[in-house]
Amino acid sequence: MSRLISSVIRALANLRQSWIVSTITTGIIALCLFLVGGYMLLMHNLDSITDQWRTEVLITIYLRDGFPDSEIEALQDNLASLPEVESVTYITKDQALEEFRGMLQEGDDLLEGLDEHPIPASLRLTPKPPFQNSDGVLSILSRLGDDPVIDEVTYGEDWLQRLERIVNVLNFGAVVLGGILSLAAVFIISNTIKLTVMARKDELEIMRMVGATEWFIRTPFLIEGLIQGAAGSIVSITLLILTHRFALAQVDPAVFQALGLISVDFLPNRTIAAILVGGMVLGGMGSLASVGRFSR
Amino acid sequence: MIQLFHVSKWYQKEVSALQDTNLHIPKGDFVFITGPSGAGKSTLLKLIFADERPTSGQILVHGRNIARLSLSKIPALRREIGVVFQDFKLLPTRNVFENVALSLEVLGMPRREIGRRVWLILKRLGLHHKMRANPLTLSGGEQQRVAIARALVNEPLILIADEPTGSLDLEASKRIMEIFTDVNARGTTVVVATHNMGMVRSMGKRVVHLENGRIVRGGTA
Repeated sequence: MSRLISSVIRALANLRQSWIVSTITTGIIALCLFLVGGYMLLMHNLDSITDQWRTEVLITIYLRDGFPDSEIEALQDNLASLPEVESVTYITKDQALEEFRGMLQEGDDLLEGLDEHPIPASLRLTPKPPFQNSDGVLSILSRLGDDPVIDEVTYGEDWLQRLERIVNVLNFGAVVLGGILSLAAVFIISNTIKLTVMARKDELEIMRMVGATEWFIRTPFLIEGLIQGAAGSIVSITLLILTHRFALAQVDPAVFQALGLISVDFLPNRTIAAILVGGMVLGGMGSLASVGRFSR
Repeated sequence: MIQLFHVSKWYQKEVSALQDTNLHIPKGDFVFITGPSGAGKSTLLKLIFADERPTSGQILVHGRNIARLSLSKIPALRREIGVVFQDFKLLPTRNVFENVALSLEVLGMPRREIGRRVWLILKRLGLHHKMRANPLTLSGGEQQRVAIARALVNEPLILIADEPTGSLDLEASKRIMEIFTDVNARGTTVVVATHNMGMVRSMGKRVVHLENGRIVRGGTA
């Protein structure tokens, strides 16, 4: 324990002694993590947009005329009990007619003169979020069976496929760009740390010459790396919070609404924790690995 | 204390630094390793404190076989050997006291004891009044004395010096040799590599002469 305390004291002394280099390293870590975090923030809200679009996935089951309400209710209950289904709404013929009239607006005289209107009753089925995609919809459709009440089923197949193509492209782009950005951040941070350690290679050589163990040499470097990583993470998270607030204050809410965003969220807590831990791991491991390069 | 049996050291495959070297330095001896530049003096010293490993042959230092010494055992060996270089190897970011204290810090010694021992060795070498100075502000001779203080503060069994007076004037060189003689008189084995033959002759100590990586004179005690 006393050895650990002494290592912490030496690490703090080293940071104070080389405070300019330490500050630059921390700044570079902060900048890299800010870029990665900013990208994560963008992706997080893009996910919200596509999630919002997905909530518009709707299966409409048109019903044949002449069946008693009890059979329709039984079908409704049956569908509502499916694990993939969020809700089922029954739209009667009259309600459907009203909706149709609403859509026609000025041309509602089209329906006049008909003895019985041709708009069928329907059940509108909203899938649960995990099933708001082609596979989910097809899974629900496969459970419908050949109930005589069901006349026809539609779910905006083309629209759904288009949405999925867009989401797939966005996800692929997110992984590629995120990967490149993260690798660049790791590369820049590890090289920055390598340079700071290289600047102290005489110290490493002398410590080894006077009989210092690797534990004695490496522990302060590890602690310095962890401190710089943590400080860099905290600065980057602070910058992200400020940028998020600035964006909210400066951009017209109508822009966000047009994109389908109900609210522009900040990063979830687990992502913030990941940035903090990631920064510390990068700082600590980068430091250790760099010292290892100068070991005999 | 130090024994070399048929030791050879090659850098890459073509460059030979030492060839089939046999040497015995008993405890308490004072030995000069002489020879022209490139004769293998520095390599020989580096092999003794395990900064280099022999390509072939065996090296025993205070009972330890350097050729087979695991990396984790090297620190213990180096705590028994003080090393001094021509370029002093002092840290400009630490003052004189802190440079010397480094040898004791690595042992995990309490601060109070470190302070006492560093003060004593600096006093012995006439540097106690410059304890807080930055080493870069000192003369060459003083800087070398700081390096010697760092090498001696943990009372090593062996003191190795590679061209310790190479960059010093005559007066400073004489002072360094007086210190080495005193250290040796207190029981420490001293091995000094130098090409300053005038100084070697004036000391009247054992001389091991190297040429082209081979000991041509003084290999046995």
